[in-house]
Amino acid sequence: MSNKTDLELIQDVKNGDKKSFEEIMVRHEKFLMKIVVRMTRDMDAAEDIVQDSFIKAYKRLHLFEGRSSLRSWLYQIALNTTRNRFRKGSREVIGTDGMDVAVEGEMENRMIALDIKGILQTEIEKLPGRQKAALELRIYEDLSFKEIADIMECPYDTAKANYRHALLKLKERLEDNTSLKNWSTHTQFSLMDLGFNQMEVDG
Amino acid sequence: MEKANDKPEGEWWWIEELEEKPQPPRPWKTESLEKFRLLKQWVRDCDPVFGWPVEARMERIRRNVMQEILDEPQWFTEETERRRTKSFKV
Repeated sequence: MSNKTDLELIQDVKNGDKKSFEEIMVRHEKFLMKIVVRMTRDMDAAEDIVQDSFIKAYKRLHLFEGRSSLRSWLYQIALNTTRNRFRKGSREVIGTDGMDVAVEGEMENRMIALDIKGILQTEIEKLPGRQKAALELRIYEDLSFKEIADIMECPYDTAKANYRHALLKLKERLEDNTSLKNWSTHTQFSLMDLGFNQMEVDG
Repeated sequence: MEKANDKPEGEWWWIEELEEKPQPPRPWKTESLEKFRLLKQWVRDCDPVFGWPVEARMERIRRNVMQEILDEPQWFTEETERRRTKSFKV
């Protein structure tokens, strides 16, 4: 990896050094792939979409002037490519059905964890697009609000407000759920520890 | 020195506390804030991408893209760039 900035690499590509585009991909491919897999829940579809997105980006590179970050621009291309791809077909989402049943001693916690996971995954899907994006970029990608604002092409406070609304909404949903009425710090546990986040997916 | 009842009112205080992690830590610890902390952890635990071998696909994506790019003539030149950016800038 070189020390060049994204803009310098783009200029190299524009000057005819196509191989510099590979370094651009290395820098941003994992981010794009994770974003697209979250939207599609389908590795094969995500692979095609990310590939198409990079090719589109290359073809339109002459239009990129650096007013936003390259990551933000690639994100927009991947988002549009995903939307176009799924406009005609229905999206298949992996549900939580069929997961292992808990062992007896941890049954209660595991049932609560299943409830929480099910509710959260459903409610996250139901969030308005920009709230969902802000939540995912902040929590899953660990981006700052400044980076999120850049990617979502909105002011810093708007990015933060979208994130805030998303968390508030999720909290309300959990509190509305009668079986989780008393969820609190007394039920602190990681859903990961209970092994509910491992899904079998073909590489 | 801050006291527990110095907790600011309003709709933003908890997000500042949750995200900005002020140093030294503020003295207040409300149930509400702890719930948000827990909720954030649970959301993180729900990442649908966790455990998905996304990196295994990267090399193939890169190879296919580069093959397509290298096999094609340059899709743009400085001249087309000048012409096209007059109408559409990003």
